[in-house]
Amino acid sequence: MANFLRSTAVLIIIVSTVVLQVLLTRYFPRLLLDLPLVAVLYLTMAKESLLWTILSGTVVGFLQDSLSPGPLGLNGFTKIAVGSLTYMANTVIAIDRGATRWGLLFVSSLLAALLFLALRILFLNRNETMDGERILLSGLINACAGLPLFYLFEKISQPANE
Amino acid sequence: MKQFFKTRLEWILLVVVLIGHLVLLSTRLSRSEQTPLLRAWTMEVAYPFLKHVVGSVSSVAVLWRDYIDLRHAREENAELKGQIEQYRRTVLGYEERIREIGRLQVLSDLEASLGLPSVKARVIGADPTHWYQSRILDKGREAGLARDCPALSADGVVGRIVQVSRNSSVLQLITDVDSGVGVLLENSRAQGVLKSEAGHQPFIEYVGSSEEVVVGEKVLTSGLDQIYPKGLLVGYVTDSKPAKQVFQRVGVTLSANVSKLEEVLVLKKEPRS
Repeated sequence: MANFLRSTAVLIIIVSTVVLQVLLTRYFPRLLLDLPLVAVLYLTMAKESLLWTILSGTVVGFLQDSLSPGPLGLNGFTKIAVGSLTYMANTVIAIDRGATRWGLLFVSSLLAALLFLALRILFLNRNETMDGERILLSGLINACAGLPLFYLFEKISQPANE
Repeated sequence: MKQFFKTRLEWILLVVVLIGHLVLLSTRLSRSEQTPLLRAWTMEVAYPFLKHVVGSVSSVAVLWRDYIDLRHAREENAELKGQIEQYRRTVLGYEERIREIGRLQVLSDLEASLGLPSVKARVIGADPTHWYQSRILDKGREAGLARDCPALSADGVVGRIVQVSRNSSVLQLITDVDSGVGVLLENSRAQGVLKSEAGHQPFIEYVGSSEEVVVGEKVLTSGLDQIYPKGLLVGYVTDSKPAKQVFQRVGVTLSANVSKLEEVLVLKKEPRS
């Protein structure tokens, strides 16, 4: 029962990040922050379970795709793939230091962007122009915003973990 | 003799004092125009004391009164501040409502001038990824919306519906990278497709290099995409550059500010006969 409640709480937090992202971009259309990606990466690092990465990536990706003009599966795939890479990195490097987390978030964010574009080119036959500056900026924003958000997620999920 | 004075001292004093008073009275009577010197001296001596004592008392009284007033004023001030804040909020609410009514009125006018079945919808969210340019609307299938319904603002075309649920829908903006709008230039009647690239100004593709494009010319929907009705304003030409092969790339500034959309008018799809 406790496990079920804990899982439900985590899922609610994940869904909340998508809702918050929808509202944030409503008022700040040029926002490059990807809150759901940060949430998936947090779960990957915190839970240290690939199952959580898959579950959260699927839920977040499905929600994002449903509320976007893009096809279903694009965001889910990106998030699960990047989450899995982070999971693998997590088994090799200790990510409890702020700088390591920052680096991992930055790299993951870049990978997510590149994978997203690659999928659009390969599967949707889109003629994408890569905006390197935008991708880098997005990576920086996600990494910088990710650290306090990780702390916040930890604070939120702490009572549930105890 | 000494004994006499000693035993009757009080009486003697009494008499002296009475006489003294009589003398004083007599001087007062004789020169009534002026204040007697003794009296003046007495007054002068008494004056500072009186002044300070009475002044102090009155100061205390004033202070007390002020304090009471201040307390009342403070309470009144807090109450008035609260009232002002409440009025300000109410006024702000009214102002926002008036603006909204104004915008909706403009859309109603547009609806009437177009003479096409349409639905007014409010923007309730934006794209949850930063890859697309889309908005989430508060109207869906139940209100008669369907895929490919065009959406307009008072200033021009803004996009088309790409996803519909029962009570909401996703509007793809014309600034989205996957969007394409069939357009024509007002004067030259040259046709092309309006496209967008992330972070760049929208442009028209497939305009022949021999076409004469004038800066400031109106860009209208051509109707050839079978989504947007013909003749709706999209924007204005800003520049033109030679592109690959026999085409030129025409820069466009959109007439509608799609990044600040709050309400849109969605044209319903006419049933195909």
